[in-house]
This record gives sequence, structure tokens and C-alpha cells, in this order.
Amino acid sequence: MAKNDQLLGTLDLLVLKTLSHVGSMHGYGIVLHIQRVSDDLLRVEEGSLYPALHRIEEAGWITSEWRASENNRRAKYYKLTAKGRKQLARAEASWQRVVRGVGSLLKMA
Amino acid sequence: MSIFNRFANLFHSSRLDHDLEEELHSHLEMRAQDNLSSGMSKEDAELDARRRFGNAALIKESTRAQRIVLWLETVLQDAHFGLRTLRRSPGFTAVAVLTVALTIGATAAVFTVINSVLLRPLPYENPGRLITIGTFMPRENSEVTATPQYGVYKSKSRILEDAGAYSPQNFNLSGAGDPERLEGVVATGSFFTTLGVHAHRGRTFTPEEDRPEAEKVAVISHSLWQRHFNSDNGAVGKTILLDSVPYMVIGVLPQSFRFPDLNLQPDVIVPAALPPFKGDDSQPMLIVNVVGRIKPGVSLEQARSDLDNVLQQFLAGLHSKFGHFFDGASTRTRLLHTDLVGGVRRPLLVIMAAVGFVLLIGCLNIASLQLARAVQRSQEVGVRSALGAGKLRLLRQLITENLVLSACGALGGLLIAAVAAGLLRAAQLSALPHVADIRVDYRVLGFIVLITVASGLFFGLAPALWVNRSNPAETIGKGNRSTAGAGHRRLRNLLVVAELAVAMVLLAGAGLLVHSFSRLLAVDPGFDFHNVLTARISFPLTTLREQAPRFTFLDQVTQELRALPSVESVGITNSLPLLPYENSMSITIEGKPVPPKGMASFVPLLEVNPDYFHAMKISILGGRSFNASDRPGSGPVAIVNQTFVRRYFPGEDALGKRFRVPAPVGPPPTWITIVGIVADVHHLGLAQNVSPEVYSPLAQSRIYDGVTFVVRTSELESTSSALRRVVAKLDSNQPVSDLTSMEQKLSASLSARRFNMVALGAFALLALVLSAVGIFGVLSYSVAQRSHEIGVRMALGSDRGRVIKLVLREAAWLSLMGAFCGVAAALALTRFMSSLLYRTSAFDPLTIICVSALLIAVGILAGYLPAHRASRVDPIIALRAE
Repeated sequence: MAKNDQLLGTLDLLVLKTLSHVGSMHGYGIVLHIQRVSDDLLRVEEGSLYPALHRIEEAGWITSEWRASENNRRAKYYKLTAKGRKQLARAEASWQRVVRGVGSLLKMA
Repeated sequence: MSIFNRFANLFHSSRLDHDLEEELHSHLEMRAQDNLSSGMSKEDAELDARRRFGNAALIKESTRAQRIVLWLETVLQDAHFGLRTLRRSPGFTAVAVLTVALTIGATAAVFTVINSVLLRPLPYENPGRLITIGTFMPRENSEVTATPQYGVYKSKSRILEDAGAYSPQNFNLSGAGDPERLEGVVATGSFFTTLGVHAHRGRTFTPEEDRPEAEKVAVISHSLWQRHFNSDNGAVGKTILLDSVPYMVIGVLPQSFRFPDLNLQPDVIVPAALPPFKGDDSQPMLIVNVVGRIKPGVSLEQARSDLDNVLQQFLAGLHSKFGHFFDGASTRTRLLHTDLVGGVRRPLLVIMAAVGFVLLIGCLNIASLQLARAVQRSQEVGVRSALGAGKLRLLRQLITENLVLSACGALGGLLIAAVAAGLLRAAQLSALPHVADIRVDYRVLGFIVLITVASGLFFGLAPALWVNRSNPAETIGKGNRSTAGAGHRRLRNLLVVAELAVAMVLLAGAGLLVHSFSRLLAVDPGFDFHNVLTARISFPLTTLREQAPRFTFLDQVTQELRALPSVESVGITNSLPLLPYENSMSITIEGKPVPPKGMASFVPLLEVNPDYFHAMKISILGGRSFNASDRPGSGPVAIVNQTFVRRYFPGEDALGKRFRVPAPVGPPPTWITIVGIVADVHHLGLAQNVSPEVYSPLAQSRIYDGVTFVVRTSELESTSSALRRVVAKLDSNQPVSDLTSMEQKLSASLSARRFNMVALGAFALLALVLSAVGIFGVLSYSVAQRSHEIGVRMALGSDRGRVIKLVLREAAWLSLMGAFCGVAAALALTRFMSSLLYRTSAFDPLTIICVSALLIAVGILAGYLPAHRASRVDPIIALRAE
């Protein structure tokens, strides 16, 4: 687990942040949102999104419900929980630390 | 993941899967839709959507892995793997599943019967406190309780909470619809309260209604309610005619009600309504069966001694008029449950033991098969454990595989048990009490689960442990020819010998029953039961009250039947063979010492018409048959059987001798002259000894309850309907009952023994087949393992014949060992079934020799195929396989 913590952590962070931004969204919407906001810089592996979503839901950070989508298709919508909000704050902080750490390392070299 | 969630997922796993699938599907659709609107073709749009996604099944898999608990996954994997390995060896699987299904099915079927007949509590309130109370009369060598004794038991005993008495009495139901002969019972007012039985509709009768002056009421059976009243709720309060007397229906019994006497299935129960006992025989009495409810905490023995005290006090104060009649009388008590099922307990337990043996053989077989497989697979297991599979995991894998096997078999077994229960219910076996209640219930299910798990674990564990102790380096090194040494072969041989020995015990048991049954069939019943139609005509107590019209009626029926071309002769009797005697009398013989009052010999009395002996083909050995001159006015005559002559006139000529029936009051009766001697008839059944019997002319007797026609005819069917027609024409209110053939009656009288024989025979056959499969398996495997050795032998000049002999010798040796051990076990066990045998010793040498020969022959036969295969071994291929 320990070795790809950071990697998984990144996807988790993206998902949580997206949901905190848009409120409630289905998987496909999350993919589009991340892509759009990052100006196509970040592309989420659609195949790894769902395992991540389910894992996060299992951890109690998000909840889901079936609803009709904007064009009347049934889709599963995810929403942040209070616990998830706290986790997001933690993950954001930790991300910022990593970015700072990596940044100073790069400046030094 | 919380434990709760794990379990929630466990139950919802299919819903989860479905949920996930739908989610992925909706994602794909949305992507394809967007692709489409950005100008892609429909196909490209979908293809792109899927491509971006990667492998949908893979995603599902990895997503689900987050969900479903690891340990459950492993179990499923094990089961799946088990199924796969089982599929890979279909021969083994088919034999194993079939073995498990047959053995568990047979065991469960027998348990279903035992559960329904022996174990399920009787359908009464607190049935454990219900007892039967009888008064044993040494003079009669039977239990006879009359209403006065019942009265003192009930009123004087301190240990009884309640007691009731009943006596069978049949009625003619007439009035609306077809007249019908009803089985009925008269009972005391406390009968239903003692049992704790309540009516389904209406109510049961009260002690107030059990009085001579009370209005006549009747409680009817559920079955009569259905067929006579079409289950009409208004039946209660209606009036029915029983023997032409109006009775008001006050209640309908529930469908689940079972009369506490297996011989009775009454459709009507009416109050006995007897006058109180006055201390002498001036009032009518009734011979009754007594059911008592003992107070809580009272033991059966306490009950018996208390009731016996009461009886002795009563008899001491009894009027001297009864003479020696009650000499030595004592009270006997039994639990009602014992009374009802005591007779079938032993046979059922013997059959249960038999089926237990079959189960054992099946399990041994599977263990042996598994052992062979385990050794074959030891290399695979070695590789797997070398690759890091934990020992525990491997062990669990093997046990799971075994349980999967057992479970498949158990499902088959459940099916077999359910079908068997249905067949037994449909067969309406008179041999089993409460046969209609035989069904698979939760207890049977529990039993199946228990034996499945137990046998699966126990007989799966042996090979599993065997494999587990092996050392991977060793097994891999040995390659495919890992014979695992002589130890394992010895173990398998031991298993097969044990199987054969158990099969031998069953064969011996079944052989003894077959032998006993054939002896029984060889018994000459004393009459010719082929082509004889029987029909009972019961005269109601109130219409055709006079004797003359009854005789006229019988004469008219006889005349009409005789006129039929297919009818050879028309006999009439008051007491049909294979049924209990209707009447017995005490006799004193002229010129022999007169026994003290109440001590005279009781002899069954049969009243027959002159044609009876001809119709039944009972040989007249001396003197003459009855004829038309034996009329009420003429001198009283009798015909006796051989046993009578042997008992009372040893070495004398009985013809012309006289006897009489002492009367309690009035002048001494006239002497009755013996005018004929007939062959013995096994009246009470083929297995019963013949009693001394007296036949007297029907014309010189009174007709009480009724008579039975015995018609010798070449066409049973048409004569049967003709008889119905004739009776209906003469008196439309006269029912005909028991319309059947003597052959059927004989067959029914043997049904209990036939049931035992067929059940045990079937299980013995199953055991024989299973152990033949066992020998076959062991030898096939041994041939496969020894193909190298056989190849060498053949290369060195041994011919095919000698190779065949080599294998067959092994088969013969195994069979001999099995038979030998089996005979020893059989001799120890068959004595438990001596009560089921008719004139056959439990150690009957002929039977033992025959079944041993059969077992050995089958064993050698089972070795033939492997032997043949061994002889086909090509030495070059066998040696090259090195």
C-alpha cells in the first residue's frame, strides 16, 4: 500500500476537490470536470476512476445516489460528506506540503 | 470496512454487481453520446467510449475486490476451483456424486419415516403423559377391560388426571345419498378431554351427553365431513341416521386428528351412554380400551402399581357370579406412544441400521476414491506448496472440494428422500402407522445437513491429511510414478475389505428376510385364495332386526349370484380368514372332566353356510360338509379342524363325538355332534399357529353384526359389480363393504413383512453395488500404478492370461477377506432381527453360504474389467514411460 499511497492520494484529491466544487456529480462528469478545469493537462484514467470512487465511498468520504442526469439518463451521483470535507482539507494541506517540498528540491538542484 | 458492511455486502453482492454494471453502462453511454455530438460516427463513438474505459470486466473485478471480503472470496474461489477439478474428472465426479446422493438419499428417506413414525410427538396435548391401561386376564391370555373396571380405574385411582374409554362399533349410515358402512367408535364423555383434542368445527361431547337418557349426538371425522357434507360449515347441528337412529352432529374433528388406536380410523364417534355399574352383570357392559392421562411427575411403574391396587380391591368385592373369570387378573400399563409404534420400532431400527451401513459403505468408497486421487495429485499439490501455497490453504481447498461434492450429493439425496416420502404416502402401507404423516420436515433437513457435513469432513479429511503430510521435494522428485509406497495401498485395501464386510452383513440380513418370506409363502393357508371375491354385509342393529328377514335377504343374494355364469359357488361366513375371530366360546366335551366355572377352554367359533368349504376349497378330511338338512329345528352339528381333533381327541375318532357350550343360567344346553373334520386354515395369518376351531351351520346360528360373502368366480370384476347391483336392488339402504379379493387380503396381511424385506433387500443391493464399485476402483488404480511392473512381466514372457489371473487373484483375495470378516459381523448382528423372521434361524447356514458366494462372485466380477485392462498393457509403452 505504502508505495503508491501518493499516487492514489492524487486521484482521491482530484475527486474530492471536484465534488467540493460542483456539489454532486456522476463519474463521467467528474472525468470531464477534471479535464476541463486542468485545461486538458490532467486526464483521469476512466478505468481507475470507479475503483477509486468505490474505495472513497467505502471510507465514508462520499455518498452516492441514483438520479436522472441532465439529459434524463439514470446515473449514479456522488456527493461529499462532512468526513470527506475534513479529509479534503487534510489532503489539500498534505498536497501543498509535497508541492512545496518538491519545489524547493527542484530550486536547489 | 466494518464487519457490518462486510456482511451486508455478502448478502447484496449480486445487487452490488448489478449496481456497478449499471453505473459503468451509464458512463459509457454518456461518453458515446458526447462523442456522437462531436461528430463521430455511431460505431466510432461507442468504440472510443469503450477504448477509453479499458477492460470493463477488469474494472468490475478490481472495483469489486474493494467490496467483497477477502475471506469470502477465497471460499468461493475454493468452491469454484473444487467444481473445476471435479469437472476435470467427470468419471470420478459422477461416481462420487451418485454415491453420495444414493446413500444420503436412502438414509434421509429412512430417517423421514422414523422421524414421522417414531420421533414426532403424538398429536395430543402433553402426549408424554398419556398411557393405555389394560387388564390382563391369564385365562384368556389377553387384555380385556370391561366398563366396570374402567369405572373404578377412573374414579378410585389417585394418579390419574383423567381417563377415557372407547370401543369400536361400526354403523350403517343411511338417509340421503348412497348407504355407507362407517367405521365408528363409542367413547366415554371424558375421551376427548383426556386426549386434549378439540373439534375443528362445533364441539366434542361432554360427560352429560354420555348417559343412556341423553339426546344422541355424534362427532364426525374430517374425512366424513368432506365426503358426506362437502365440508359444509352448516353440518354441525344436522342430523344423520346411524343404524337408522337419528344422531345430531355436534362437531367435526380436525384433519390432523389421529385415533389413538392404529386399527381404528373411525368416521363417527358417539357417546357410549352406558348405565352405571351395579356390582353384578345385570346391566349391559362393554369391552373397552382405556386411555389415561397420568398426573405430572408420576412414573409409569407408579401408575401401574396404583391402578393394580385399585383393580385388586375391586375384584375382591365382586359378586361371586363371575366365578373364576377374573382369576389372576392384573393391570398392565404402557405409554400410549409405545402402544402405537412399539410394533414397528424394531423393524424400523433394523432398517435404519441397514441404511446406516449403506451410508458407511458409501463414505468408505468416497474416502478410497479420494485417497487414490489425492495420491495422483500429490505432485500437483507438491508444486503448489513449493510455489508458496500455505499448508492450511491447501488443506482448506481439499476440504472445500469435498464439501462441494457432498453438497451436490446431498441435494440429490434430499430429492430422493422427498420422492420416497411421497411414494410411501401414496402406497398407503398398512404396515406403517400414520403413514399419511410421512413427510420431509425441518428435522429431516437438519439431519441431511448434519450427515452431509459430517461425512464430507470425515471422509474428505482422510485424503486431505494424507496429502498434506507429504513433502513437496519428495513428491515432485518422484514424478508421476509416485506410488507413495505400500502403506497407502494397504489402507485402500483395508477400506475395501471393510466395505465388503459391511455389505456382507446387509446381504445376510436381507437374505434371511427373503428366506423367511419364501418360507411364509410356502405355508399352505388351508384354502385356495385365488379367484375368491369377498364382500361384507353388515346388518344394522335396528332395521332387519329379526333373524328371519336377514336369512331371507342372504338367501336372495346367494340365489342371484349363483345364477351368474362366472360364479362357481357362493359361501357365507361370519368370520373371514386373515381377520380376527368374530366369536369364541368355552366348551365342555362329553365324557371329559368338566372344568371349574370360568376355566373352560375357549375355542373360536365360525358360522358358515354349506357351500363355504367348497367356495374356499377347504378340504373335508372326514365325515361330511353341512347341508340343507342342518336347520334350526334339526339336531345341532359342528365341523372341527384337524388341530381341534389333535388337541381334544388325540388318537381317537372325533366323528360322532359331542360337546356343549355351558350357559351361565338356565337348563344345560343341548349337545352338539361333530359330523365332519376339515383341513387346518391359517385363520389369523400365515405366520400364526392354527388354533382348534369349530364350524357350525349358519342356519343354526344367530346373525349378529353381519356376514361376509366369499364367492368363487372366474371374473372378479364383473361379479363384484353384480354383487353391488343385487344388494342395491334388494335393499337400497344396505351397504356393502370390504369388497375385495381373498388374494388381496392375503397380500395385505404380508405387507409389513414384505416392506421389511424389500427395504432391506434394496439397501443390501445398493451396498453390493457400492462395494463392487469400491473393488473396481481399487483394482483399476492398482493396475494403473503397476503398469510398469506388468510391462516388465510381459516383456519377460508372462502371457495375458497370467496377467488377468494376477489381478483377479487380488479381487478374489479382497472379496474373500471381506466375506470372512462380514460373516463374523453378520453372526454378531443378525440375532437382533430374529423377531422379524419366520421359522428361520438368525444364523441360517444356507443363507450365509449363499450370500457369501454372491458377494465373492460380484467381487471377482468387479475385478474383471481392470484385469482385462491390465492384460492390454503394451510392454513397450509401459517401459518407455520411465
